[in-house]
Amino acid sequence: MLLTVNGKAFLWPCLSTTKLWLSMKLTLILSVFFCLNVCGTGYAQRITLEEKNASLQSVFKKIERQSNYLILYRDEWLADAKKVTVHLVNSTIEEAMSACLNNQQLEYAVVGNSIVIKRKAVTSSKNRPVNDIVARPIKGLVLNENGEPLSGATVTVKGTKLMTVVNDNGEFSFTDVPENAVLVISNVGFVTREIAVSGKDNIKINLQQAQRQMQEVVVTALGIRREERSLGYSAQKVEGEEVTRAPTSNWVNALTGKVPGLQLNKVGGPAGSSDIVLRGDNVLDLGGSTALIVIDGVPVSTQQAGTGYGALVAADNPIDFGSSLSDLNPEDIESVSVLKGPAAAALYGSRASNGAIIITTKSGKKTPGTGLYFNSTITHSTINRYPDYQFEYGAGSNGATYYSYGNTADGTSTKNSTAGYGPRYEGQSYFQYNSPFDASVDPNPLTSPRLERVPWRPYKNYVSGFFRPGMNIANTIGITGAGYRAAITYTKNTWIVPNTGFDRINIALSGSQKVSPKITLNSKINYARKFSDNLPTQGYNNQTIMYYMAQTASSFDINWFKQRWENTTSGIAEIVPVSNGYLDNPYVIAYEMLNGADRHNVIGNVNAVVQFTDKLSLMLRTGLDLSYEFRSQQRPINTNKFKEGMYRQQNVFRLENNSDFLLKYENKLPFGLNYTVSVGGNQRFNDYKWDDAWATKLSLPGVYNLSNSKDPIQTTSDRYQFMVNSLYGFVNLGYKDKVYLELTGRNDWSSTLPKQNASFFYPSVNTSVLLDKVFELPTAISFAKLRASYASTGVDAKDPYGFQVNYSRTQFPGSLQMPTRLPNVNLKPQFTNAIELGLDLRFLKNRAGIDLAIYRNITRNQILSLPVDGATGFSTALTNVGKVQNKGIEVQLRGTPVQKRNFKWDVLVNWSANRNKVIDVSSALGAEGKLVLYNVGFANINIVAEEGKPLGQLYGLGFKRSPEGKVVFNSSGIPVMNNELQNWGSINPDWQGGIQNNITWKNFNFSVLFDVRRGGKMMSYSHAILAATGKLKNSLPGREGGVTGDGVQVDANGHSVPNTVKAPAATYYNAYYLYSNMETNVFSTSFVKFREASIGYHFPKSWFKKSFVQELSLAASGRDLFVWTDFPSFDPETATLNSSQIMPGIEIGQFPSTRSITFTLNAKF
Amino acid sequence: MTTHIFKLTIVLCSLVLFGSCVKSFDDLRKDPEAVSIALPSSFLSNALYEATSTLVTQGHTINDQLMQVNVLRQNDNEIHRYKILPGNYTGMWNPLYKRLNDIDEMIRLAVQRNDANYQAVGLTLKSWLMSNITDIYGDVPFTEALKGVDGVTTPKFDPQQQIYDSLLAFLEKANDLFVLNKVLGGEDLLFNAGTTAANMLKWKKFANSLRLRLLMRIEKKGTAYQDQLRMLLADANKYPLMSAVQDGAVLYYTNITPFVNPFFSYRDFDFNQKLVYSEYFINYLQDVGDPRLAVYATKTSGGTYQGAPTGYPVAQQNVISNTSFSTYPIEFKANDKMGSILQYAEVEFLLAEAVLKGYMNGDAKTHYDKGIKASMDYWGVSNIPANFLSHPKIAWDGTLEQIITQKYFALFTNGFDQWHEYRRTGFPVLTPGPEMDNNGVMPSRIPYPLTESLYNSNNYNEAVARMGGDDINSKVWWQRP
Repeated sequence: MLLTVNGKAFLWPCLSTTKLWLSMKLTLILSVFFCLNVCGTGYAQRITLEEKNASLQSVFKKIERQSNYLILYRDEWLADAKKVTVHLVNSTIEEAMSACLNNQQLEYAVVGNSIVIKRKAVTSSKNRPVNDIVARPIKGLVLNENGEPLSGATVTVKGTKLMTVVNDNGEFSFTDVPENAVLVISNVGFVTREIAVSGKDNIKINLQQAQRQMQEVVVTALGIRREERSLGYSAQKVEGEEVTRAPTSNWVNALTGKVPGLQLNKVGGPAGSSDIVLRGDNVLDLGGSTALIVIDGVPVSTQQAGTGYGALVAADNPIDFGSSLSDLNPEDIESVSVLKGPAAAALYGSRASNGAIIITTKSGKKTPGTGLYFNSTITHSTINRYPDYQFEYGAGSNGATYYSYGNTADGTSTKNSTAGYGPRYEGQSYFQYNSPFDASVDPNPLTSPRLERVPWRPYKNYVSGFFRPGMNIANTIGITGAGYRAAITYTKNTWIVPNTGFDRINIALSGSQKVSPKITLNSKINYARKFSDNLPTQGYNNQTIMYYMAQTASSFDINWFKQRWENTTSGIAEIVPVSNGYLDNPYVIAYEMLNGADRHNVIGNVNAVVQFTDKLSLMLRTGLDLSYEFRSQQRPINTNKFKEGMYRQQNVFRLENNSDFLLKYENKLPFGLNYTVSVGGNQRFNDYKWDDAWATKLSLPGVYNLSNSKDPIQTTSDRYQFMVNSLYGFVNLGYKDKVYLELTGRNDWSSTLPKQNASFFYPSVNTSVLLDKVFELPTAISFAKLRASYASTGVDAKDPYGFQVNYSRTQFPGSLQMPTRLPNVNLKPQFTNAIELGLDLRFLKNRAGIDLAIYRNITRNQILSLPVDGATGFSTALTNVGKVQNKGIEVQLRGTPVQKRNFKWDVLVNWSANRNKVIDVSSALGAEGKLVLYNVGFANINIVAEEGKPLGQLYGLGFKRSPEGKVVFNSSGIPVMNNELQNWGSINPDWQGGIQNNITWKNFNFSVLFDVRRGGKMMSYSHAILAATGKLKNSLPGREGGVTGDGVQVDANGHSVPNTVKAPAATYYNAYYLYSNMETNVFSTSFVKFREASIGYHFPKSWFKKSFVQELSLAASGRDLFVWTDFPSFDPETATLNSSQIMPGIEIGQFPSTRSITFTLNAKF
Repeated sequence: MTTHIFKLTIVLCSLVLFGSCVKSFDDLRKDPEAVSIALPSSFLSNALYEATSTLVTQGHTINDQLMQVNVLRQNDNEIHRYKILPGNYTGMWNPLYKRLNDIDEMIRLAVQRNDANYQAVGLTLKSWLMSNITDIYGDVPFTEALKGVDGVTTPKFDPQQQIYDSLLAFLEKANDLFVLNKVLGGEDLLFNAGTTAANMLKWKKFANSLRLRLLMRIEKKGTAYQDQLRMLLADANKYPLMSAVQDGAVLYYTNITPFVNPFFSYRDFDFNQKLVYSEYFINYLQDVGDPRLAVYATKTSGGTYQGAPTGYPVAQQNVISNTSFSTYPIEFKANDKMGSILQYAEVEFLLAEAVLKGYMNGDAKTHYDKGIKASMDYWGVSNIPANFLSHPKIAWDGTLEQIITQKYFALFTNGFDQWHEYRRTGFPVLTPGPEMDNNGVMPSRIPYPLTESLYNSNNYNEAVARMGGDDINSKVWWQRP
């Protein structure tokens, strides 16, 4: 047989063995399909095999399949090998190989992740070196970079067949080696070293970890593991440690800055829900471009069931209860693959059109020792940034010359004013709430006449003093072994708002069992229970802390509010020393207006893989995401919005079941062509039940249950079920490791579309070409891959019953109303077409690399609920409309500037820019090039899709301008608003990027991450309120004497004359920063964040040599340490929770964001 | 071995399939919570309640500031200065059309089922709401409105005259349709005609009284309307009108959920703390010794009644506290009389005007006095001071001003009707304060919601051109000379 090495042909077996090894025929490893639950990242796989009189080739193939090893051999040698009979259960590779090669004329060696089969030497003497010098015994110790023993390494005497394996203590010995012998030490995943004995009898060798293997494995759609090089689309892997290194209350937030093209729209609060957007907003439904989340091959829900309230002064407000995604325990995550375009996820169908985040949880793995492990993290968070508060003027309204709590000698009462336009702090004293009073005259602190003046001073902690440091403590105990893993984690979260937080228990189980030689069963179950006595209410309203914080003034001590009730035991009369019926005591909000939740969530799957023959296999799987949640909301009596109190409870049941089959046939053709044909099916079934019951008034104060309802109990309920059946197929072709091609096709039948449109088909194709294999490239280029893909994805309707005309219920018994949304009997599926091109280049033996991707996605026929003219009788109409394009570029640079034995420095830079464009929004609804996607009527805040512009244009009011473009002022010197909606910019960022540095030095590792976002506008409602009421520094100029606005007045003849009228500061700023004035309240969301820093230390293994401890490490990390931005509220990276929708582009009563410091302890036994 | 595997595969396959309960797609397409069959009665309670709530609460903000009933203490929402912000444009549009959609469905089903009473009730309520919409905004969608289900998502705006003509026809038809010896059937929050046939007459009286209101509003727009007015007033048997306080179309709130005063869930601040009564309102009632003052208003900390001037100087803002000025009693949040649609008192004042203008025979003074008494009655004032009706300002002097001024007090908390009447007659005489917007000129209409220009731009532009601008000073049809 002819073999090719370095382009030359030569014949067997006349060359040295080392060269032969190199030139042996390569067998493809990673028959990725089958590895569903076999861990693909380590090399410690166990082998279970039952063979009778099988050929050695077929046994090797099976071993390859179960492990990640590649077995290298010459066909001729195996041709005359004996048939093998083996019985292996959970054997190591060595055991397996020994069993196979028992009584054969063959032996093996492990080199890297390959196993090399050699012929046994006939006699050892034949290979003795000619100049045989004195032989002697030698001992040695093999250690890894951290100085830990490296068991399992093989040591061979170069040029001989002498070989030994290093024991558990890292030791090896030979009884008899030549004095000038050279030892070759090799181990899986390490750089092989050669060392001359040179007369020594004791040798210590350190092996260095090899560079990441070329054949990186990525989990793609349906949990299929693929070699990264065979993928024709962009898929990025994030290791589990990246999400646990600097933990957040919702682990998803740890992905920020690490994946190009990933943007998070965050909601503050203990549950910390985020909307994950990959490659920009595709759909006109704001907050509807969320990526699909898949856990262990099973899609899970990211959406929570909302309370039905908006963020801005509705009857009540939304609460972030979290979702299946946020309740996943980060400690259980093995790795996360981010498939950005629809190509990557074409096989998930509908929901993957916005990309997919594929999470693999940890599986059982054999580790040294007992397999028990423990880890503990403690996180301490504090507020990292405040608005620019002023501390020069206290509470009071326009032109107040004094402050007076009640009618006093100083004048009539000003106690109800909470604006920041009161007297300047100049060391004077006034009658204030903290002035002494005579309880014998009137014991009520709110009304008792004040006796003395007390100093007029700012309380610099009037906002910050309310908050407390947040704490998140998580402890995990787990056990892992071959084929199983069990872990339990308890998390206790106390959030920065007093009396908020949650407790969570996560239990993760994973098992794998070979039930017969041909059938493997795998199962993973993650159970989470989260309970909370109180999750804070979001947005801007009486029930929210941030409403209070926006309204209070710096002359009010937060401690004045600590006593919540006039009579501490009664819970009857709330103490609010200031305002007159528009503020509630913040401690009443935190301790009495409770939002409890108790949530159970099971995410799990069972799958079976049947290997009919070498070539034909079947995977069957059923997976479940099931949650049940009980929520309660209680509001005490005599609070502003609930004079008679309120109690409300909700039961939310949610189930998603996905059942799949996948039949796969793989084969090889001549000329190096491999092919795989797969046919699969999926049935997705969703079931949702929501019951809501509430007491609008309470009979007795302080009793919160439905029995205590004064009026008839009110109820609402919602239920739906829907199903999507799918059939799909795909063909993978590979040509000699050089070119790969994949074709897919899928047909869905969805019950959420009307019958005539329920069935839809969509195809995809992708290819990758390994340029370094096809062409002669300069040696500096160690790897070069070009990839291209095209995909189409169909999407059904989110609302299962959107095509039906039905009446809806009202609060009046037996009474109905017309629906608010106009149904559409002819809904069609939405389609996304995506093209992507990518280039992956690596240089200098992979020391540096660049991965580039460019893409274009077009989403058309979007299923949207759009606002329509109310005169139609409806507020919104369901329709297919629009065409949105996203074009973009993503760059990832990797480099290892320094790589020494004890020092390694890795740099990872990522950068992405997305250009979004609305191509068409004209519709049957009459929209002419503009569609309103979101509208706050009374504040005239609109988010609009406008043809030719990026999706999400802020439309609102601005100042009226003269023909010369000057702001127009009225005769009182107050700026005049223009009553026309104007464009104030796009909510989309121009680009974002991150730079991460990882340094390993001896047993230490350091990591630092910065990330940047440029561009993108946001309306800050909080800023509007704070600035207009004089709480911020930008309302200081002109406090004394008034403000003369820069602009013109229009005189009686209609001519513009410069404005010279000084307006009182309060009146001026009130109009200037008015909440419906977008001109002064829209800001850029550009930022630079010092996102993460961490330092970790691995205790050397030698320290616990004699103890049961196998591994011990400590780490400290920080998250969101510093923020540099011009955004005036807390955090530019925010969004607004509206019922259950996370709405970008508007900030309404946002919670502060936090800087957190975490300490982590890991121990393995 | 192979058969073994085969069996296992079958078992696993069925396990996988068992995982989801298999339902047919057609079953899944049925919304389990949906109601697709309704009776005409299904729509009445909620539509009536919600529509009244909209008019009462929006009236509290817009009508009551424009008409110098109350004055805002804050300076960001100064309707009392005739400054109307876009945020005020929206509150009546969608909510009222939505209820009209319910009422249209009620009419449709009533026609289908040949239910004359529900048809008549529907036509009456439709006329009431449509007239409010057009009186507030001017030309509005009407003939093509409420046809979303038929695919009309951009309805054209109709001239106000055409809308009025239709509404008058609706009311004529309603009057013909009422079957007085038959109960309405379903729950009737307004007149309790659901189970008591005798109360159907109240519906009929409401329909005709409403028609009287509308005809009087457009009386000067043509002889055809004047003839209709005469015809209506000439035949009390055919066109019965309200004749007692109990006939009044008022939602008397029980304040048992859900039938609660819509202000119940208001914060005190929004209901009576950020605003006080206006000087005009308080002073007039105080001057004439009107006993309703004690019902309407709180006393200051000094024990007196005090109103604040409309359009007061901005600099005086912090002087206007709600302890030194009168405001709504907090009990009004749960008052049962705030859901007023059309009271008997209004009918008497309309009759007084009709006599005054010669549309009917009779004694204007009698109707005028009855109107005053009816309003007193309504608010539970039983002891009218003996000399009240002879007070120089109250005693009948034969002027329209007097009728409308008294009607103004009777229309307290009656949606936008004070403002409609002012724009028609110029009464009561209101003096703008020192710091007014719009040159101190009373706004003639509320502009369309800003989003109309986005949702329905062509029709919007056409209507705006016809109205002479989407402006607060564009006059609606019946205001034009």
